[in-house]
Amino acid sequence: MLDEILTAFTHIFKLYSFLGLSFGVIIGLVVGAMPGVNDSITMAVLIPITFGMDPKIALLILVGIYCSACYGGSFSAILLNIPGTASSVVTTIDGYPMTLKGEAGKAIGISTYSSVFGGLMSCLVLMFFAPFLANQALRFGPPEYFCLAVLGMATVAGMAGKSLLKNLIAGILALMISTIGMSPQTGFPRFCFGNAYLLEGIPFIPALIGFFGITSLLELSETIIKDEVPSIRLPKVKNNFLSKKLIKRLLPTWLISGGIGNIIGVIPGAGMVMAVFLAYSQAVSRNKDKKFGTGVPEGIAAPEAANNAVVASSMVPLLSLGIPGNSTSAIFLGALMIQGLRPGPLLFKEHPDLAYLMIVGFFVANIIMGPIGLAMGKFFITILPKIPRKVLSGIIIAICVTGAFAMNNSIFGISIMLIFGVLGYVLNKLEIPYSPIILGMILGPMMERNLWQSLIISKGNPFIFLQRPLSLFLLILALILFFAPFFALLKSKAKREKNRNI
Amino acid sequence: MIYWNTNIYLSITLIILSIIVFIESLKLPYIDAQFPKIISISLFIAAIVLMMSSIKMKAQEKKKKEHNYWRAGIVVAGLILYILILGWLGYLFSTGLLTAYVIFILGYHKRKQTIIIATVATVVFYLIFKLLLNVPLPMMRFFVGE
Repeated sequence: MLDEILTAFTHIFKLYSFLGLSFGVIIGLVVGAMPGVNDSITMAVLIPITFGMDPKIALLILVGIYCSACYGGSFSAILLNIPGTASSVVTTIDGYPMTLKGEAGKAIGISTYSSVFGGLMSCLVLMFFAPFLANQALRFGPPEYFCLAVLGMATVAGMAGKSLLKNLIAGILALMISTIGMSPQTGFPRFCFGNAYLLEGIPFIPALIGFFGITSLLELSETIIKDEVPSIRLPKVKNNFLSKKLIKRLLPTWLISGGIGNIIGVIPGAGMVMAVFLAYSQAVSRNKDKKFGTGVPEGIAAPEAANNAVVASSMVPLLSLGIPGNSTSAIFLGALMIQGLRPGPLLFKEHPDLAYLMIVGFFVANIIMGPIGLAMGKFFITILPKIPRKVLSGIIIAICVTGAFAMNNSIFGISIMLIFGVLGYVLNKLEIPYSPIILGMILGPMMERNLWQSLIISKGNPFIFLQRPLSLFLLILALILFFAPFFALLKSKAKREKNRNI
Repeated sequence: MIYWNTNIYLSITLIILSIIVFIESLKLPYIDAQFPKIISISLFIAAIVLMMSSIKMKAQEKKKKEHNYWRAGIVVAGLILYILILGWLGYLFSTGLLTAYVIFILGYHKRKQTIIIATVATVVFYLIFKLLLNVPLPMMRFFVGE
């Protein structure tokens, strides 16, 4: 194994290979920063182009894109409050408030360091533990997936927000929205009201663009008084490097969030979004003295470390078993098959050079992503204050409508974007957070589908979730995460009463 | 005494929504109806709890903020118009008009600059999506034909 790894390193540092990898990283950063365009679309478009290329360079370009796209999404999340990718949703919660405080450079720095750390962590996992982890991932059946979805939804209770009850209401509304479309059990259309576009459910990316892009535009238009626009304060930044003190402070968050990202990434179908919400939730519960949602560094470090940790670990089931971990790694499956390769256990035996090249490629891509990302971040921070906010908002609306259309090549996507933009605006007025809605829209179908599959397996016995050790463990974890904020609230109320009596 | 506040109106709306969803799910086949029923019942309970917790709450004196809801309404109207004309005017003209409209509505009244910015931004995004990413964007009806 060590020989193959060293050979792969030698190959990567050849001129064309290194250029291909760097090109992929830059493309990934740019498309990741653009709402509505993500790594999956970009890779799907580039696969035919890579057909005529040397397979090694082609794979390295795709590796570079996949590595950097989710990190690139944090740029627009931090600077514009619009997540560039779904995995950057949580980064907006503390990233944008940091920008408003004039700490955009620090926020980008935290995002960069966190992404690199999480990415490198998952590369090491991929390199040394791939076969073992792949076998563990196979132990996940429908009951475990259902409990995993419940665990994900349980994090809603602990999210930043003024009211626990409203967080829960947001989560329930999200599950309600997720029932729109064809039922996963029978394919029967539910709540479509005769609209064929709704058969596949509410398209997620246009809804996301609506929640963040259109909602903030509507709020901006409302708060304009006498042509005065609240401006983004972006002081001149010498560099985005983090101090040793901050690195030391964030290290535990990186380790834990990276661990969460690794575990979730290995499980096929679990998804990056769940990893970022879980990581954020654990950061909130571990740092009770900090007010998340106001620009806390851990609020950026946790999701960014987690989402990049998912990247390489999602390749574990693909490379070891031939099962893609998520939609993006499914594109890798296509890319490998186009090149005449078969992912799975035989890939390491028949084409070890390519298998290890991909693994080492992820490693090197994460390293070069750091300085490129910091330079790009500094560029954006320099450019943005020069553009008046009103003009920037107009440009943002253009990219929002284009991105919403691009997802399904349909004007319906723009309608959804508008509806969810207005919904987000109304929810803000009612102080109902919409991050739980995003999570629920993803987890709802997974929850329902696996619930029914579990009941079929157990012949209607609902105790199946308690009889399997892994699903029981996940349920207990979910209960702890769900009730922890309630207990914390009761504890603080009791403390206040005690102080009052004294 | 009941203090009517936003939360009470919200809880009434959610109660109505949960009832509508429950009634609609009665029309679905048994298996497909269960999840929506469970969700609607959960929402109903959450809305009742919200109402109970809000019903005795005094309406807090909020700092009077100047709200320009009508401005948000104008932006929404612009987006609705955009959706209607996109299929006819095509991506370039419609998006250019929308961009200029939004910039103008937000209070940037330098007309020449607005037109240049809107044009450049639209063309750049067109090039990125259409040429680089191969995403087909709506063409103007005159060129596509019926």
